[in-house]
Amino acid sequence: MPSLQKFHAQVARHNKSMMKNLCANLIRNEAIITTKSKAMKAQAKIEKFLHEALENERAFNAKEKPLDIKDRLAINKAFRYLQPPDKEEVGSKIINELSKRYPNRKTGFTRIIKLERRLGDDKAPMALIELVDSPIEFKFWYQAKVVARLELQNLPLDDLTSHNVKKLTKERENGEEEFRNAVETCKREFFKYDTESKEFLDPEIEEQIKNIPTNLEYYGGDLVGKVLVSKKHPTKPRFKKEIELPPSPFLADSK
Amino acid sequence: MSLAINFGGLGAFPTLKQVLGNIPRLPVIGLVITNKPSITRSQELIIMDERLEELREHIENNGGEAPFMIDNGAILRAAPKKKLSHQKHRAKLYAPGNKQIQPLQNLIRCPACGHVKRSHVMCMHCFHEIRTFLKAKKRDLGIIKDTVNPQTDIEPIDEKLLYPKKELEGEKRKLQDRKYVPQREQPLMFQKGEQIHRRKGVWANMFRQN
Repeated sequence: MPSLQKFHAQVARHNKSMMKNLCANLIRNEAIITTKSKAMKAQAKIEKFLHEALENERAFNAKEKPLDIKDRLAINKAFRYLQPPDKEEVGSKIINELSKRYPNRKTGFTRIIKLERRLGDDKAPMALIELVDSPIEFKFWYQAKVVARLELQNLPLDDLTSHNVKKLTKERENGEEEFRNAVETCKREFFKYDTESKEFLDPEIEEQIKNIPTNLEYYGGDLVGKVLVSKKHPTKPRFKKEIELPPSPFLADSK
Repeated sequence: MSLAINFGGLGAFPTLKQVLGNIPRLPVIGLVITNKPSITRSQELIIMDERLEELREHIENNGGEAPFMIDNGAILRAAPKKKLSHQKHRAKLYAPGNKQIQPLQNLIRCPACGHVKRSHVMCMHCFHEIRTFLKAKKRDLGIIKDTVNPQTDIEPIDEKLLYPKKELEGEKRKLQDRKYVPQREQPLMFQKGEQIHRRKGVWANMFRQN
């Protein structure tokens, strides 16, 4: 029977190959659920790898004669980080898809979202690590769901959600259009809302939507645009005095 | 302290009545194990235990009293010799400050569904919904590739004949339901008054509602 502890996180050799596998699988699947510590360790490696690979890719594009994919895979030194069997599949995805998705991006290719602990004896804190601006982005769809819920409650967006939406749609291609479509699909999929007849198909969800946030000052009230301002101790901008200095007697022009 | 006595596995034997009539009931600490006799075994195969006859003789000679120690089909377990003092008992339970589970303070309303969730952590109710939705989307995009088995069209009777070992036995079939996998409970809807504040305690919170 094979031993259960074949793969040690403490051994450097094992740890390196673990990071390589996580890197390849993240690019392959766009999002991975792992433990929090593994995700945070792997994130640094993945960011470094993607930065180098895409920088080299831009340098090849700048040349007069653009190279073929086979040559690029061979020449690009960043791909040496990957395991040999993953090299062709993952490398070609970076060349074809990711270079178009991130034309100007240098950092911040990935995002970590903290999840609840694993159910079981382990109780390990889990996390989701995903590629930014991918077609399957968890945060994008979560924010779309938030906006859909607020629209069904007839409430305007608060500052935090509008800030998050702006961040998500800024770098994405046709971001605002895609987000608008996502909100409409969220209404249909998650809230069972018929847009034509304007009725909820599920009575349970109709009751859940009545659970409105209590701090309505932030939702189109007095405190819009004042997320960071304290309600107890409101601060005013500092008054600046304009003082005219007397001319110095040592300069020749002053006389 | 249970007063039950059970002679395991020998209930069907006819001479037991004589034995039972002589033995007084003893106080026993611990679990009582009932060994039910198997139905298939015929009575001819059952042989009288020699120790039982020895016991009967012992009781008759002793004037109807049971010997000091007998295992009456029960497991005698280790028990503490002395009672724990009030101080030690309380020191064990309450001296380490981290032993008591504190109520969570960082609970907020999930903006996407209205259920309770921990702050800075994704709502798992929404997460499962989105994940199942995106899995279908992944299939459309071609990230998940389903391989179709060549022999899926076979009828179940033919499959039994062709691959007899594929049919699972009773216990393995139960495992296919995957009931051993723990499921996350659906969280409650968030309401503001329900959260207990650590400093002010339970009572202050109750008065505040009134």
